[in-house]
Amino acid sequence: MLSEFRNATGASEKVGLGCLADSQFDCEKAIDDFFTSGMADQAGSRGGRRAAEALYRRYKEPDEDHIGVDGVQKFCEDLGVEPADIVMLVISYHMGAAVMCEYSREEFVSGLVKLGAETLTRLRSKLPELRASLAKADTFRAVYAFAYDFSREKGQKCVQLDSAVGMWRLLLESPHAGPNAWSLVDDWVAFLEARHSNRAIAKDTWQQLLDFIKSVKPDFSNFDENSAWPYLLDEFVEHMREKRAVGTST
Amino acid sequence: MADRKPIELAEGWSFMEKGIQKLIRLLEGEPEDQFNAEQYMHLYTTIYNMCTQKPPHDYSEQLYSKYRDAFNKYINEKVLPSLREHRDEVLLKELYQRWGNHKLMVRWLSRFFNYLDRYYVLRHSLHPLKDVGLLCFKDLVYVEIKKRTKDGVLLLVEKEREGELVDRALVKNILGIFIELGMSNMDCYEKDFEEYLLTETSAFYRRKASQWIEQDSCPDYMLKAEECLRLEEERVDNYLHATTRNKLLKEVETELLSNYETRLLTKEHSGCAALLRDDKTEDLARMYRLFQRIPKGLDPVADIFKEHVDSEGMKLVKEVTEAVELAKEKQAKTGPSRDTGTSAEQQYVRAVIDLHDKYLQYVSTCFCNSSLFHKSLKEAFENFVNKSVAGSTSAELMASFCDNLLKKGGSEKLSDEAIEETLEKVVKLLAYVSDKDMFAEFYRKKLSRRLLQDKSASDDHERSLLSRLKQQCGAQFTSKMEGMVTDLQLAKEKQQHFDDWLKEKGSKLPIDLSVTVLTTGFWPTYKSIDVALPREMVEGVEVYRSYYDSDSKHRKLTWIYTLGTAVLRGNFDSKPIEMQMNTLQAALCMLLNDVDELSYGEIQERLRLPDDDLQRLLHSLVCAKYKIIKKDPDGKSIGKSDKFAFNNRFTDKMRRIKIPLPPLDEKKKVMEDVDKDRRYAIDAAIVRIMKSRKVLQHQTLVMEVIQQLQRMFKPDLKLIKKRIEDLIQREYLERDKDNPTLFKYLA
Repeated sequence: MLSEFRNATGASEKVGLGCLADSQFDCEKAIDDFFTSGMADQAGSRGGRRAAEALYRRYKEPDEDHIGVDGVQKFCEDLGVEPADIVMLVISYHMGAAVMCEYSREEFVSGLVKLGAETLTRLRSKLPELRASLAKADTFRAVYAFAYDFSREKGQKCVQLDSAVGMWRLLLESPHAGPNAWSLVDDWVAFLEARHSNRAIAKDTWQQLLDFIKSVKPDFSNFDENSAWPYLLDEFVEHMREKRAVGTST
Repeated sequence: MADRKPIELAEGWSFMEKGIQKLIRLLEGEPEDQFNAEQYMHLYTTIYNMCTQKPPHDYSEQLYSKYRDAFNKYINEKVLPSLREHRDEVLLKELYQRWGNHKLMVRWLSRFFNYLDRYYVLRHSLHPLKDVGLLCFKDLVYVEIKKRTKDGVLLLVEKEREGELVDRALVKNILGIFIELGMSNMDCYEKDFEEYLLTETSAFYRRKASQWIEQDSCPDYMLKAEECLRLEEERVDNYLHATTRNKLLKEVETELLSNYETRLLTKEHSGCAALLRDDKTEDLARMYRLFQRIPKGLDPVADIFKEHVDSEGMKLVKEVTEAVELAKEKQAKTGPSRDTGTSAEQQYVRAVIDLHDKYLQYVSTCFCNSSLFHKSLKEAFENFVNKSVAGSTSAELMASFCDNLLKKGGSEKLSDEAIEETLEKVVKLLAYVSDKDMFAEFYRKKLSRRLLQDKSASDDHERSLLSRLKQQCGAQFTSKMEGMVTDLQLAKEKQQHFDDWLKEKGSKLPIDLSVTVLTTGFWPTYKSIDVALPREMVEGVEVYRSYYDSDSKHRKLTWIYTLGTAVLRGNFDSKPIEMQMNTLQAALCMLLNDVDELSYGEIQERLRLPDDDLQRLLHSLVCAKYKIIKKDPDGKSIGKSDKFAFNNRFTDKMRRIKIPLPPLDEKKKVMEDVDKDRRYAIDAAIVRIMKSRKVLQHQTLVMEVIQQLQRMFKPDLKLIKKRIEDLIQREYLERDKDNPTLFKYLA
């Protein structure tokens, strides 16, 4: 039982015995306690990477060398956040995750080390800071850019409209986005649903939207049709102007 | 000489004074003898002596001033009093005479005193004697009477302007005084006369213009203005100085033309637009002549011209659109009528040609071929010609129009010359069409039908139109069309070759087979329906294939049966009839050769045709004009449970009939092809430009793309944007990281 515990946690014999004793020798409970209580911190403080590796082993798919959907789910539960919480996107960004709902060993371990949060408690205590970082323009821009590739399905060049809309809502309507939030997300989404027939969002359009939000006023008064905005944005502005003109004339 | 006693001043002068008195009496016309040589010599010698005596007896200085005094005295005593008595014309006459006298006096006196000029004047750099004489007149007479003289002259000018006859010679002479007194510059003339003349002229014509503009129509006004300008020019020739010409005309032009241009051009019932409407070419030519005189005077005329042509064009567009809609409504009520060939659309192109002829004529005759008006014409046509007419583009209509001219039995019955002329005009019009690619695509479609169905009326006309198109739009524009024409020629040779080959082999086909081999790429794309042909036809196809493979290697032969025609002999009960029909129709008919009756399903199984094609095919033979096949149950439409059989009771008064297979609506396909080609063309242009420029601003790129492509079509800005985005997606381009309006080429 002790070796099982140590395998899972990478903790020393002494720590293992202590934990097992505390949990009345229920090995699984002992492991949970080890990670979710402060115990891992004490163990981890001696070798950050080892602690992170231990955490990785906790979530990885039993037969494959990566963390899958179930692992991510459990990871979220341990952290006490919803998988759809924006902070998970930020964490994934720091890990440099290539695909949604999946972390490779390297991504997960290096990501945690980079964050300086190799244990759950430390990571948990870091969550508010991570959320707050979104209010900064350059972090937001980086996470926004990351989100495109992250949302792409395997083998696809473009993000499908539905995923893109989900991401936009997550990012641009997040209470943590601060000055990076956009008040026209509903209009934009409604416009795309109604008018955008091929339903794929090109990376260029994705990227340009953020510049558009930053530089074009919500009343579009400084929008220049002859500039290089992607045509979807041209049409969006046209659509909105028409809509608003109708709104004011009646 | 030394012993001679010097002449005292008083003594010498009293002698001189007598001479002067005699001269004055002569000038005043009093009885007096002319000077003889001796008297003259004496006077001259006296002066000479008085000037050459040793000081203090050198009286040069005194004599010089007495010379002047003599003039002044005469002027004060005689000249001025006589001039003061008169005014106006009499004054002018008197002045002219006095001036003549004065000049005479100057001539004589300056001769008497000539020696002063030779030595005294030179040494002291004084005015020469003649100038002193003129200056006296100027200082005393001219200064006093110049205003009254000027008024007198202006009075005469005004009288003449009002149509009276005046003594032009007198005016010219008087103005001569102004010029002569300027003493080799024009100051007197310009300051004391011309300036007032110009003001007066301007005031005169301002008065006239303000009356005329109220009471006269635009043409009448222009007639008057032109006449006034002509008369003023004449006036300059008659008595004014040549340098006055431009200044004077400018005043008149300003008052008569510039100040009233807008009012004149826009006069309600006679302005420029009305003249255009009523075809008043003479008045329009006059308008051009007049307004070309003032700076930018023609711009508004050219604008009105453009507007007029444009609205005439738009009127045509509207009329035709309405006519077509009306016809459609009528057709919907009464059922389809036979197409007469001279549809409203055809007439539209004809009308546009006529419109162009008409206004081109205007530009060349009324508007002196001015480039400004050519531009207006071009812009007007470019505007309305690119409007859609009854749902079609003019590119399409022009292609149809050409087709109608070039095909056998077209509705336009014209002589060869007239056809050539019309073709040339259509090509000229094409220059105004921005969607030239659309024209090319439609034209190719029509050309292919003419060539393949042997409907072209004249090879010469075909080629001449192609060469005209080539000249105007470039070789690339016509290369496919030329390829098509050439293909057809080669096909004839090839057919001969094939027949020879057959003979050589000693084989004989169950049917007469003629094949036209077309080069892929030159021709429009056709849907290749893989129909299962009857045995007889298959054999022909196989034999030809083996011939073709033996003749040319590495070429793939694809059969397009939909374009083929076949002649069948129908052994009907009453009489046999030869039937010309489409290959597919023939294949269907031959199915019914051997059996009494086939169901829809059986036919479909044997022909292996999709439903829509089969329906169309059956309809043409069962429900159309010639009912070669009967169906059970009888009816107007084809049902999937129907049964079909050969209609042996069919007959017709002709021995040979043609059974048409209605073509599919090609318009949509042509438009789609054009759209697709445009996407490629834009992609290619963007890549070409970016390859050479590497980094480019968005707007510059768009402009260059438009420039590269405008010979063929006017690319839509949105489309260009989409193509750029697509190329970014495909990683041909990327945006600059710091400046998203800057594109970089990714090699």
